[in-house]
Parts: sequence; structure tokens; C-alpha cells
Amino acid sequence: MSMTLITALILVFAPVANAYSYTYANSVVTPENEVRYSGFQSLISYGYAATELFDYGGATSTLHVETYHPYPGYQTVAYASGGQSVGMYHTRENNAHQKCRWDWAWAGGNLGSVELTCRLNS
Amino acid sequence: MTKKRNQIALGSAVGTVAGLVVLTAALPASAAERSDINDLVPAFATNQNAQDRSLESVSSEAFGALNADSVRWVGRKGTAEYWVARKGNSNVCLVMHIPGGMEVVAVTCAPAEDFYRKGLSLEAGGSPDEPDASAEAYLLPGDVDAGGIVSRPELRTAALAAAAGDRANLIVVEPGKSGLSQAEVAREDGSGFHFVPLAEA
Repeated sequence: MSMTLITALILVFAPVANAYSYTYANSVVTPENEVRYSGFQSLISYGYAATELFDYGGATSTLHVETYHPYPGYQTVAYASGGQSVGMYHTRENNAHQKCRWDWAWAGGNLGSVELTCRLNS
Repeated sequence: MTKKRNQIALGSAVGTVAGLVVLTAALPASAAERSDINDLVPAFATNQNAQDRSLESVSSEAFGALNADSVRWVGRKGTAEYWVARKGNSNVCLVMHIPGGMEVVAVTCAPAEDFYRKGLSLEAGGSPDEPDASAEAYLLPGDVDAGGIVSRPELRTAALAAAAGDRANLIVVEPGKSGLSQAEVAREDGSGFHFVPLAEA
């Protein structure tokens, strides 16, 4: 009986305890350096940003993802930048925001827009 | 910069665009791919040991997202510790962990053919304004002469270069202070590799 009750409780509450994933930019056509924002999140522990695969003269995009507390008192919690796709795990942060963007590391030139995907996990 | 003993012999065809297309098309093939990837990142050719799997205790989530058997520790330098790994069928990944603070673990991956052409770049940390809490690194294919990038006198971070010895062609620099700039450096077959650093803040 008690085991049945425990099992039932686990089944009921387990989904609440699971991390959720929120894609705040889902293959959104995005110009260079245009920032996509997650808005307020009660818990953030992971961020991911990627562009569609493209190649322009042998170079590629650089992705930037940042978990932060907004103004007033802007504070970066954690950030990561990398080529074409970047993921970032960090200690769970309450009541934070996340944002992402992409840029073109090579000087000059305008690549136009590419599809940008950004996702966070609680 | 120490030249790798286990360098690749990609053949003269790679020197041409046509050759590169042939190479990139060949990389996803199973047996050939394994050989080529091991040459591009020599650590993959070594047997996995407990230190390689130390990423699992640092971040089980990051470890779980990679091909677990492929994870290899390649060094600790400056503020961070580094691993290389495979992900999916053909992606090469660079992983860094910045201990303390927010315990940031960052991962960047690229298809093998992209890695061969461009390498991987990664910067992460608790804040871009706190160099002691952030790190910046570049994983280059094993046949690229990293010495051509880090040995120039204007660079202030040459001492941090060649962090991984023969296990990977890894350059570690201080974020925002590297002095790195775009450079055309030689590959072992005589062709060129265009190095592009992350933009400084």
C-alpha cells in the first residue's frame, strides 16, 4: 500500500520536478547582431544558440548566448560565444533572462539574415 | 609551437578546392571518417581513461549530450579545463569548464568537414568583464601549424598556447586580451588555413 502510494506520488510530481526547455527563437530569420530575448524566467541553467549551416567565403557565424539580470543593475550570470552552435551550462539561476544573437567575425561585409535558434533549459 | 607527431597525410588533392570537396564528402564515411578524425584531433586515437571521463562529474548534462566514449581530456590552462568529443555521426566538439562562480561548462560543435576547414572557437565565463572568470580557446585541425598563429611577437598570450601538447591542436588565450588577429597559416600539405579569432569586446 505504501509503495503504491509512493509510486503514485512520484508519477504525479515527477513532471513538476523535470527541467523544461523553452525555445525563444525557433529558426527565426535574424539579421546580424539583432538580439533575441527569452523574457523573464524563474529558473535558467542552460542556453543554446545555433544558426543554420552556411558558409560565406570560408567563414561562418559566431553565436552568442548570455544569461543575465536586466537593468537596473544589469549583471551577466554566464555567457558563451562560439562558432555555428554553442551550448552553455551553468549553476541554476533564479529570476533571470537569457538572450542570443549571431555575428560575423570577419571585418566588413553584410551577410543579410540567417535562421537563428535559441533555447534555454530550466 | 610543437608540431604534432601524429599529423595527417591528407594527400595532395586537398590543396585544391576540388580536393577539399572530395575530402569533406568522404568524412562522413564510417571507416575513413574515423581515421581522418583521429588525425585531425589526435586525442581521439587514444584509449579513454578516467581523466577523459572527468567531464561526467563536472557536468553530467554536458557529458550526456556528447558521444560518451569519445570524450577526451586535453588540458587545463589558465582559468579553464578542456575536453574534445564527438557528437552524433560527424560533429567534433570543444568543451570548456570554468570552475568556481557559476561553474560554466560551454560546448561548441561543428560537422567534421567544417572543423577541418575552420576549426572551433569558444569563449565563455561568468562575465566578459571578469577575465579571471572566463576563458577563450581555439581547437584547430591537427595539420594546421598553430605556431603561425601564436608565435608572432605582438601576441601577449603565447605562453598560454599549445596547452594540449600532442593530444589536440589547442590554443588558449586570455579573453579580450589575446591580440589574436586573422592569419593565414600553413597546413601540413602546404595549403593554407585561414584563422579567424572571436571578435574582442
